[in-house]
Amino acid sequence: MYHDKKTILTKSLLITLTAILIFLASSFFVSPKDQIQMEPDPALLLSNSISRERYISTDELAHKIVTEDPSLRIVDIRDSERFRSYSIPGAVNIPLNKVLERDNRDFLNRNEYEIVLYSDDNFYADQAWILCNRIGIRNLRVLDGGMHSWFNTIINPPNPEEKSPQIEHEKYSFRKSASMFFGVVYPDAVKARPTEPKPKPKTVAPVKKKKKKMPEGGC
Amino acid sequence: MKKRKSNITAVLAVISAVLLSATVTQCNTPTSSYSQSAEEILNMIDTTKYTITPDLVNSDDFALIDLRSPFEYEKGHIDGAVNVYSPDLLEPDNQKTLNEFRMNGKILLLYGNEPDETLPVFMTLSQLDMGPVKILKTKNYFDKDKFITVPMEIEKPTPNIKAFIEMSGEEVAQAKKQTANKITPPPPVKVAPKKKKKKKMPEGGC
Repeated sequence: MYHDKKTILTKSLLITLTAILIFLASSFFVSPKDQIQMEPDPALLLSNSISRERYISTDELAHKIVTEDPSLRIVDIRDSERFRSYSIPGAVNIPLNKVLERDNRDFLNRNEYEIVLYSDDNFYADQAWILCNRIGIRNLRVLDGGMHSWFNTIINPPNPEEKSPQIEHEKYSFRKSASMFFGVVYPDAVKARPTEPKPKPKTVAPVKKKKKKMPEGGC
Repeated sequence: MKKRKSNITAVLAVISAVLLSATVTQCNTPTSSYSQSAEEILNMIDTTKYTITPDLVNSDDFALIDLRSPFEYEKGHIDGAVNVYSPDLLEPDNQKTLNEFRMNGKILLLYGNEPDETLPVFMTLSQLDMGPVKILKTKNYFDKDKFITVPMEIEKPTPNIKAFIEMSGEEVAQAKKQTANKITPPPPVKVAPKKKKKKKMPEGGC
């Protein structure tokens, strides 16, 4: 009798422990702790958001595009209509309200790439950056000044004054070349293109044959 | 047989204890420091109007928060504004000030030198559900030590870059055409007529 009771007790203990084990194991793996752990605390997120480290200049971006940097990905977070009207060459469109969708998260969360977000200014791009930073995406950058700055510096660069320092002239020279790369045509660049002079046909002066003169007079 | 069972029980008990302690530790850590999820914030940004122009500001409903440095604030600020320097937002004193405004039913209205500067604070307060918060669409600067506030648009649409690029090509093509039309034919080369020498009769001989 005593033996039976003990066996039943052991069995029930075994079943209970197994159940607890299964429950704890499942709760341990299902927990969203991983996601929460990736979140920076509010103070860190505020500090990251205030820092200007995330910004990339239009010159730097243009250089990366011209040199075909393989680690570069560009994301236009404006709406699809604005994206269709003009976008930076090579950009992909992910509108701001779709940034946190699963596929887009996977696209953005790739540490092997440097991903540059841009909007018309940098207000919306900053918002996208802050939310992505919150969910643990760390490889994003923001185009400083957005499309406005892209237009005013790369597409339509202001010509420096003659007295400006040499560095300004060099910067203008790079920007002008970059704008030509992106399709802008300059009148002086067309004129400056060396036009090969057409080879003139060689003029051969015909050799006049001297007419034989009749022998003059004589004895 | 009896020994084997007791061994299994012991192993299971140890594993359970370990998992239990791990779960307890996990439960002790804060689940999330934020009151609002990133998705909720994105939805709020997408669906609500969180910016406001200066002409719509009614001081009874809003508490103006100047996010610039104390130095700039002392130099000049919008009347009635309270200074909360952005990097110090989460300091207890500032939290207390903001909470008091909230308790009094005020909407926190943020401004900096430009609307961009208010974004880190706006996003932080929204995620901590310390709202309602709005952004004042102004640009603030000093002109000869005088504090100036002017309305400023956020994310103003860019000029049509595609049209600009196409125009640059067309302009150059037109300029080329005009220069081609202007080319005058070269003046005819004057050729001085050569006078033929009259053949003289051969002069006599012997």
